[in-house]
Amino acid sequence: MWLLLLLGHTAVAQESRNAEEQYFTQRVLPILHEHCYECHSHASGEASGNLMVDSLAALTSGGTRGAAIDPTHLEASLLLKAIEYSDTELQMPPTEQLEVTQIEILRQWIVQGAFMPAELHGDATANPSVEQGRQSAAQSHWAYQLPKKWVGDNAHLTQSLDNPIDAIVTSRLTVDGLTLSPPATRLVLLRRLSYDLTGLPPSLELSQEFLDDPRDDRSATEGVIDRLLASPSFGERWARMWMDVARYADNKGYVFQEDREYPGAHLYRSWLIDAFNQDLPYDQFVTKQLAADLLIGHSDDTAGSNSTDAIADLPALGFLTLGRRFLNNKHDIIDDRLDVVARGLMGMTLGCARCHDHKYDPVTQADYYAMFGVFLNTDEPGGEPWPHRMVDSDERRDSFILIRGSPGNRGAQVPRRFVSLLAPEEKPFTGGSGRLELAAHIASPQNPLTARVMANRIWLQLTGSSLVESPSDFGLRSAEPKQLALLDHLASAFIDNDWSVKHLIRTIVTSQVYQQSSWHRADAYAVDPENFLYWKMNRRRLDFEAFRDTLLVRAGELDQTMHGKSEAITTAPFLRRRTVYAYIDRQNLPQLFRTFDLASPDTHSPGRAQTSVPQQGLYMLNSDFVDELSRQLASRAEAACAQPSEQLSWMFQQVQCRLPTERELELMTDFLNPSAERANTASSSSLLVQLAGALLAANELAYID
Amino acid sequence: MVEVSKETPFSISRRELLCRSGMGFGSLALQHLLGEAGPAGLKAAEQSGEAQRAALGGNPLLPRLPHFAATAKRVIHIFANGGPSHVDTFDPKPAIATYAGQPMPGETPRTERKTGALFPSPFKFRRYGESGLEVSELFRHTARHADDLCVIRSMYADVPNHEPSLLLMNTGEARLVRPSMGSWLTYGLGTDNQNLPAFVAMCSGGYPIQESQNWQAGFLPGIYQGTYIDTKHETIDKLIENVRNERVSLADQRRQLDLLQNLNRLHQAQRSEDPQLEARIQSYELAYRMQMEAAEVFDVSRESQHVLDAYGPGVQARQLLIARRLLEHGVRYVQVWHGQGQPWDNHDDIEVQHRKLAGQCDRAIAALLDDLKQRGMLEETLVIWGGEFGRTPTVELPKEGSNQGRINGRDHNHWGFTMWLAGGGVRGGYAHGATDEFGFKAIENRVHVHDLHATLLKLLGFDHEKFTYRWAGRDFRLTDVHGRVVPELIA
Repeated sequence: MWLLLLLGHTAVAQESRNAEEQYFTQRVLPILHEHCYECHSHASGEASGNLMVDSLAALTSGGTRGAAIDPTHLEASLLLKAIEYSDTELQMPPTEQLEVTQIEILRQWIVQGAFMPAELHGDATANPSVEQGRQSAAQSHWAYQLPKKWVGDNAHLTQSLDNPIDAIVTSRLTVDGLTLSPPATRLVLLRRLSYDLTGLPPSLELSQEFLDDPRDDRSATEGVIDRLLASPSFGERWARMWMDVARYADNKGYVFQEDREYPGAHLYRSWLIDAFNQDLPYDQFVTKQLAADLLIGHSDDTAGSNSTDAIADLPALGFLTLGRRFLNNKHDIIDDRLDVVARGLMGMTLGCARCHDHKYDPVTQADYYAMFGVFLNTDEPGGEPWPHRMVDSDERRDSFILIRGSPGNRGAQVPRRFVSLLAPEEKPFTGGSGRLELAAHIASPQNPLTARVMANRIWLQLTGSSLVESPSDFGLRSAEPKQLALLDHLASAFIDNDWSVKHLIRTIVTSQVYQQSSWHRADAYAVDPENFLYWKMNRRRLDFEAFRDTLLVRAGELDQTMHGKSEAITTAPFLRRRTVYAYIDRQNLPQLFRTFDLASPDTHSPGRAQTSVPQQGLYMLNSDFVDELSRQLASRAEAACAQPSEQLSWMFQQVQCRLPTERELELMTDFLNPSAERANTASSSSLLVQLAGALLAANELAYID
Repeated sequence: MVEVSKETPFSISRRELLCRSGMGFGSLALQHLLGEAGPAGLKAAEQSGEAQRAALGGNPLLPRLPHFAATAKRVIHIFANGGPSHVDTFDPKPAIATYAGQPMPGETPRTERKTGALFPSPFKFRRYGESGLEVSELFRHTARHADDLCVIRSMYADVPNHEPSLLLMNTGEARLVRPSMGSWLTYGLGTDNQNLPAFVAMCSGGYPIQESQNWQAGFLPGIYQGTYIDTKHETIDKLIENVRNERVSLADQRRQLDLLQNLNRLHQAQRSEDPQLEARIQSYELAYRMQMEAAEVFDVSRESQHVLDAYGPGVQARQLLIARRLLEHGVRYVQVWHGQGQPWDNHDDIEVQHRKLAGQCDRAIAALLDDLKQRGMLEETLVIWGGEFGRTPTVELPKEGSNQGRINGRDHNHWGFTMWLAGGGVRGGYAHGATDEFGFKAIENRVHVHDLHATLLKLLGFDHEKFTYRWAGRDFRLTDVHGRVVPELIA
């Protein structure tokens, strides 16, 4: 308890320092910058009255009139008098008094001790700058180094531990005296694999086959894994994962009275499904989504495809074009595209540099507008058969830096180029808009972020926990992952195997780490309650898509037709197709999607919330959709078996993929045989429907062990 | 697993810590402190803090305390969408009549459309209450409560267009996707009644302009989004999705639920360490209870006849009465819109139209204030009235395709307009700030929408600069980098 309390105090202290720093950087520094630095800073090389105001040391040592800030009498500080205009002899800034709110901000800051962040402290004659502080932090930040290949000694790679994932995780567990959990049973493992690879529960046939497979577990499991990886449902599952990254929706959001539909959005989804199914290498997957149009007729086609294939890749540009349209404001549209590119592909919060240099990361406003320029040089021609493609504009123009992000306040013009953090030479793009060069910088083994970000997304999808706490922010504020070696191995293996997504997935799901049981272990829990070290598999909740698809499968109603236009799933007649084909109305996302934690389609989504709210229960208990499915399930049971006792057993097996226990049978039998006074209120057939409803609503169906 | 419930002494330190942690961060340490192991999936959420806590207990809507003691605990925002004219309601400007028909001296500020001469208000103003607050005949019933009203006559926004102004008023940002104030508050405070939605937005016949973006959760978890209720309907099953099951009786459903929970308990028995299973079990119990409670709360026919008479007939009356019932039952934030589209947007026929619109709501608003007072709720209920902006004191000139050319209406005006607050610790019987002599621009003690937000958050117990949520690499606020509390508005 002591230790815990201590931890709490440290956290509070840290927070108050963070708050001071935040106050300074967000409130004070902008005022100093704008109104004081011109005449009193190292940056401008001016020290009127021999005073600098860009470090605490300079302020306390002061200028010709003495200390600007008096640490012993903060309230009496000269700086305060100057800005308050209380002394007619000394009024700063000299041209016009600061606004009341600005004065108040500076006053608060001074009387509370004039905190300045460390990088601004020190020798007033030196030239420390925030920028330098950031740069040096960046030099050592884990995410900005190329992933290190794992070199396990042979002792770790034994025959039973021939997957480096297992070797890395096990050796880390050993440090804390922990071990992996035993393997999950075949039944549990099959369900896990089936959901993770296809988003669907295993068919009863596959189940039976796998359980009866006489081969050893490893061979039998690998056989199943390969079958699932080859299933067309694989692409549907993983496309939906990517649709969260790409903030997919079927319309533009609010654009006044204009037509807001994206009639061809589904072509992008189809392209994603095919790309995952064909295991399009991730570097090409990225390149095509940024510049498919520029690959057409490209003699040095990196994708190695001919012209017809290249044209068929045009829907990939939906990654950029299918965002919200923000009342058709061009700046906001481009900002959204930069965000989906930077956070979605590189875990970089570039958007923070729209109005000023990034507060934390080594990303400048010039970087932002250099990248902004790329999309400033594009148009969207529209029209069939490729409605949402993008082309380079006829004329080139570079963007101006917009001071405070305001279009009316232009700064210098910056050439189109990649972010200087990852390309310090700042070489301008030369080919058209520069999208192809942009893609080359991102989809590169030399980019330390790209492979890591995707490897982490895949790991998160398969294990339910992210190696990096913030999957779309790998900046300076994201702590080094506890399992950096694992992340680095995944990322470098990803690159080394030609960016094959299926290969990476296969490597993970064939590991003992993935295949271990999710059972609780008190000893391990005591050491690592959050399972950061992976001593067990995480129990996971089905997401909305997997859950709705499962209801359809269990009721025998799923229509597995692939591709095609999006369709409404919230209104009768209820769609029987997989949820990935649901129409996503960005402007008025139906309550159902929100209730079940679908990613917001407004902007790139790093991950989903997971809630248990009563509206989910209402949906399961009362919705017409679930009622329809319950009826289907019940009538199928009635058709399959004559006796009620057989019917309920059949139904249970259908839903849970296993035989009921005696106790479960008893509970269900009791339910079908109500006491005399109830018997006349409900027919036996309607009881069977209610029983079906209860089975579909059960926790067992909603969680993966 | 430490069970943290409202009753345990443990929860006090938990709450204190949450407050100190500024809602936005530090909760990872907090989880350690409380010995709570988060389910692994929660790390998927980009931000630390609330989303994690949400995933933890499974219920992100449990009540929480704000940064400091608050005077207001719940909010009703009566949104006069379209932009009601301040010079015809709460900001009398006799100078317009004096110079009627003449152009405004100096340059007429730019608004959405071209306006011409000064156009006097057709409505009579008089003083009300001990405070002597001046209100026009349009809101003569509301004016009975003059001494409770805190009228801000110096509001201003950024642009004279509905879309950005609606978003600014609701989310603090004119274009980008940001959480609405109701979402922020349910995120910060949770809600007192788990059987009802925490944040309700009522609008009859469809959406206002910008639609459900007005009550969006933005980057906050979707559960903080306002629940939209189309008050055109009167029966509960049409008001709340899936709240009623016509196929089975409640008793039969309870039996079904018992079976489900028994099966769930068997499943849980071998997995007892996992809190998410219990959370889902409990959510079904909540759902079951919600059916009854929601049906009851939305059913205004349960009110006595004299209450019904006081609110009067019509949709406005009904939705304000529903709002009162919701607040009474612990709902945190209720937004009541005047109706689909932009009803108060009277570019033409302002005399006829404004009279009609005010006639639809004035009496009910007055009844609501009476009602809240009688029930002892006004002190802790913050009532907000206003539109997204006001209207010009000058007459709108004809323009083909945009008005009917009747030269008897007013254009949008973001330069100056009026909103009023009541209850929840605001200063009653007070008019704050002023527009110029014609009512065009706010000139004295100007209050920007960000300042209003900062002040409202303060009344609700939050320091607007510390009430943050980390997303996409930044700690976001309702007031972004703006806003200042207006102390004069607080009693």
